[in-house]
This record gives sequence, structure tokens and C-alpha cells, in this order.
Amino acid sequence: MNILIVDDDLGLLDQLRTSLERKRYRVETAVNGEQALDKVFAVTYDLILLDIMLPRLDGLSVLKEVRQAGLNIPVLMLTARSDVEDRVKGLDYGADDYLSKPFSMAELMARIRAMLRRDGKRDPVLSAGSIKLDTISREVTRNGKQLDLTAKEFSILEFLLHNKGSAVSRFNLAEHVWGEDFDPFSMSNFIDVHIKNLRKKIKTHKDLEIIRTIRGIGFIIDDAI
Amino acid sequence: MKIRKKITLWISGTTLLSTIAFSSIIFFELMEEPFKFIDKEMQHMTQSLVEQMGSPTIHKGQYDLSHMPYNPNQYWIKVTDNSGSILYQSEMTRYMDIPSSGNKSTYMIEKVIPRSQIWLEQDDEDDVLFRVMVTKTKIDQVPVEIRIAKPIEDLEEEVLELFRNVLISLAGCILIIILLSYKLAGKILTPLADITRMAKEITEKSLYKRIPLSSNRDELQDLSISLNKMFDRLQYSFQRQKEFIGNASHELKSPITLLMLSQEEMLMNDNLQSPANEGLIKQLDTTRRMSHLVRNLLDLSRLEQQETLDKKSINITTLTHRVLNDYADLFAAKNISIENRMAKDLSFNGDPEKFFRLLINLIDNSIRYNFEKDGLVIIKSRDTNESILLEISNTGRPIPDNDLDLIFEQFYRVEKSRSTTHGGSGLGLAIAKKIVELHDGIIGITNEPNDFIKVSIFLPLKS
Repeated sequence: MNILIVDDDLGLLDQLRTSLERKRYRVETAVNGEQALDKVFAVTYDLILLDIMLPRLDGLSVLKEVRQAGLNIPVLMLTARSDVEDRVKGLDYGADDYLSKPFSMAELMARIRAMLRRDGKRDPVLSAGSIKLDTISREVTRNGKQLDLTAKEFSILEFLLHNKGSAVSRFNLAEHVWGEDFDPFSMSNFIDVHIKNLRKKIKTHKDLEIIRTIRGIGFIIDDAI
Repeated sequence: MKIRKKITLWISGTTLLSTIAFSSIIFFELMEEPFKFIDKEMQHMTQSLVEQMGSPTIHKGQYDLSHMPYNPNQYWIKVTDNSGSILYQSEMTRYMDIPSSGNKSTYMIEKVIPRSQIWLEQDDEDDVLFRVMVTKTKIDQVPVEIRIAKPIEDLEEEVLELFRNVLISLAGCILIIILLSYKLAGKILTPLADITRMAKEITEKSLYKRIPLSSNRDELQDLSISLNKMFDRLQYSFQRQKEFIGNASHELKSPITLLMLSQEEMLMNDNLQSPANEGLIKQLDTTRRMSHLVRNLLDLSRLEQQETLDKKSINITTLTHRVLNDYADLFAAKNISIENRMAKDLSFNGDPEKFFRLLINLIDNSIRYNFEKDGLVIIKSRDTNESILLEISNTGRPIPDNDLDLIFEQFYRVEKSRSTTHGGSGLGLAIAKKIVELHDGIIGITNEPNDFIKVSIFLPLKS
């Protein structure tokens, strides 16, 4: 899986490269709009992470040119929050999603995986053990039997599944579930309530938890051992 | 004291002084006038006397005074020579003596002559006032002293009346002067009041406005120009300050993202030992707080620079339900009950995203600053054709009265310790206020009876 990251902050580029490479993605980087375009037209990428504020050529212009050239690569815009205009423009120009800085790795991974699944080439169903979550029909089943989850429980489970095998913090879960307008500090206290209910609903055997608590960090979902 | 009053005082004061000076000159002139006639008469008398007495056809001591211009019997007349022997004396000298008084040529003297003896111009106490004129001259080379006195009416009454009249007209003058100068002061100050009014209209929101300049180049125009220049500088520094906060927050975003990502990355690394792990968790928490703060700062800065809104018809009732629903967990956890007495389908023309944010901030606060347990939140609305009033009340510790106005300021906290107890960035209400103001509304906070704190939002429907 080939990802191009375009950002003018070298430190951030480096960190993103390390984190994504750890998740076994192949990462290439560009530090300005022109360089990004050169690379896009030379190599086939599966996904582009594109910052809006770029030297030489800004992110929106890069996106416009990519789409005009008929390239359908999923593009995740990295924006400064509240730039509603930028956000709307980005989506108008054909961006697939946007993520505002600062963001967490868990959120980024969830977005990337969701985007990669959306193009139809990959299976839209996420799973852990006997639990399956269909990201398109938005249904959750256990051993083929449909489970009745609330919107928040679904959102939490989807986020955990996108980050399968990695621990996710309460804070990041809260930020994801409630959205950025809410204060994640207030909300993170209530993640446990939802996790508790979620566990009750998806539990297969009494002593078999697929959602585990990592003390001091948060939660992790894995295939049941 | 107001300048108008001062100017009135100055003008009236100076005009009054000159009027008093003028009136007193006139007054004293008028006082002298009657005596001038008498003095002239007596002078004339003296001259005739000298002529008659000096005439060679007449015997010494025997004078024919029938050709005098006035009847000599009406006067007290004594003509003496150097040795004091009397050359002539009139009828009236029998009743009284009028002494010669030093060097003065004309003077007044008062004598008491009973009415029974001779009827002169006595007053009630038989006092007669005489006007005396002493002339030293020569008759036939003999130096003589002629003393003529005329009983005169007591002028005191007339003088008093004159004085009264002067006083009355002075009082009238004062009244007219004060009225006129008050009017005049108003007229002088009108352009100044205009400038003040226009300067008042220029607020933080309308810093682009300027005071219109008058057509004639005068001191007031100079004042307007100076004020306009000051507004230029003010607008510039306001703009700079706002841009600075926005730019600074924007620049902080990438480094914070980097910090957060690397701290998360490290935390996910299972090899870390427990103390390092805990330190890292604390660091990450701090980074997240910083991130939250920077976001809010940037939001506030953008709101402050925003001039136009993306207005749509919003259903406030639905929007509030959405927010309450998102906070359902929090309400449940603290066992806070909600009394939603909002009108059905309350609609308003505004920016939906900003309005959503406003409701979130207010409802978040109503939980955050509520009692630890078993609190109450009441949401009420009142709408007319012209406005909507939205009230969100929550139970909780009352806010000290001095803090009520300041609570909407950036980073203002009632207690410094609250940031740790209650969390939050200290920008929630500042953001809320800005959003309300962008919708031409007013937001206020009050302490209510029974431990309620009420936030009221007034929104005009016609812009």
C-alpha cells in the first residue's frame, strides 16, 4: 500500500512516515505542491494525505490538478479546523475526507482504513473474532446474528476495529465519537459506560473479551485468543 | 461642571461686570445732575450780586437787589470782607448761620430749623438740607467772601428710587444675559457634541467608521482629524492583535500534532517501563489540553475576524435536542435532570454550525458548573414576532457579583483553581458571546434564587 504525504512541516512528515511504516504502509513524502504533483504523475499511489497550506502550490490547487488529470486516488485533506470554506472547497474539488490538525494516530488510521475500503476494491467488512461490522450497510453481526447497537456503540466499535491490534485512548475515542465541537475531556469520562454496554452486547463467552482494557492507555480490540 | 455651564458663567460674568460699571457711571452722573443746576443758579446769583454791589450808584450797605435774576429772599446769602464785617445779608440769615467750610467751594450742610420759624423744605424732623457755595472775589478792589446757600429738597427718596430702578434693570439684564449666553454656549458646543456622538458610534465592531469632516477648516475640524488618526491607529493595532492570535494558533498546530503523534507512538511501544509510561501519559494529556486550547483560540480569533455569516433557517429546538442527546451520558452520570420547556419548532435565521457550537458551549457549562450530583438544568424560550429569548439555567454555586460582567472575557475564571477542578479552556463563554454578537444578539449571566445560574440570550429576528 503506497501512501504519499504532502506537508511542509518536516518534523511532522518524519513522524507520520515512522508511524505509517510501522503499520506496514509504504510512504513517500513531498514538501510542496509542485513536488507533490511531480510524484503523483510519476508513481501510482493508493492514497494521498494532502495539507492545504503548502508553499509553491497550495493543497487545493494540487487536488484540482490531480482530479482534472482524471486520477481517482483517494485524497485525505489535512486542514486547519474551522476553515469551513477550505473544507467545503476541498470536498467540492474532489477530496474524499478531511482531518483537522492536531489529530491522533488512531483517528488518522481510522480515516485511512475507511477510505481505502470505500473504493470498492477492498472488503467493506471489518471483523474481530466472530464479530463482523459492515461499514456500508452499518450492520454488526455475531456469528451471523445481527446485534442491536446504539449509534455511539457502533462508532466506538468501528473505530476500534479500524485500529485493530493497537490500543486506542479514551480521549481519541471521545474525540471521534462526539466530534470536534465537543470538549473531549468531558466526554472521555463516558467512554467506559459505552464500552461496558458494548462488551455486554458482543461478548461470546463469559471469559472471552475481544475488547481489552490497557491500563493507563485505553482499549484494544483483537481477534479472540 | 459642564463646559456649557462654564461658558455661560464666563460670558454672563464679564457682561455683568461691564454692565455694572456702566450703570454705576450713569448712576453717579445722574446723581450730580440736579446739583449742577443749583450750582449754576447760585453762580449766576453770585455774579449778579457782585455786579450789583460793585455798581458805583449805590450806597454802601444799601443795595437794590430787585434786578437780581432770582429772589434773594429765597436764599441764604452773606457777603463778608476780610475783617469779617458783613457787607450784605439776606432775610434768611436771621434764622440760622451757615459756617464757611474750609477750602471747599460747594458742599452740603444740614440744619435744624423749626417749621414754626420759617417754612423751608424741612422733612419730618425739621431738617433742612442746604447746598452751599462759597466764592472768594473782589468788589471795588476789596476782597470779599460770598456765601450762598439754598435749601433743597431731600433727594434721598429720588436717589433711592433711581437706585431701585437701576437694580431692577440690572436684574433683568442678568436674566437676559444668562439666557442668551446659555443659548450661545449651546451653539458653540453643537459641533463638539456632534463629534462626541459620532465618536461614540465608533465601537470595537465598527472601527472602520470615521468622523465626517466639516467643510470649514477650524479647530473642530482639527479635532476630528486627530480623532480619526487615533481611530486609524486603534483599528490597525486591533487588527494586528487579532491576526496575531490567529496566526500563532495556526503555526502551533503542526508542532502539536507532531508532539501528540510521537507521544502516542511511544506510549504504544510495549517495552516502556511503568514510571516512564506514566510520565508519558501525563505528557500526552498536557499536549491534548494544549491542542484543545489552541483550537479554541483559533476559533475565537476567526469569530472575531468574521464579518459575515452563512445564514440559514435553523430550528433551534431540534438543534438543542441534538446537543442534549449528545450530552445524555454526562447528564446521566451526574444525575442531573433536564427540564426542557422550549417552544416547539423555534426557528431563527443564523449560522447553523456556529449556533450548534453556542449550544454546546452553554450546555457543557451548565453541566460543568453544576452541583456534583442531583443538579437541575432548565431550558426555557420565549418568542415574539421581533425576538427570541433563550434561557439556560443550571443549579450550582452562585458566581460572585463582581465576576458576572467579566465572565465572558477570554481566559477569565471565577476561581483560578476551577481550571483543574472543572477543566475547560476558559474560552467557552468568550466564544459563545462572540457567536451571539455575530447574530446581533445579547448574552448575559445572572444569579437567580434557589442556587440557579441563568444564561440569557436575546436574539432579534429582524436584522
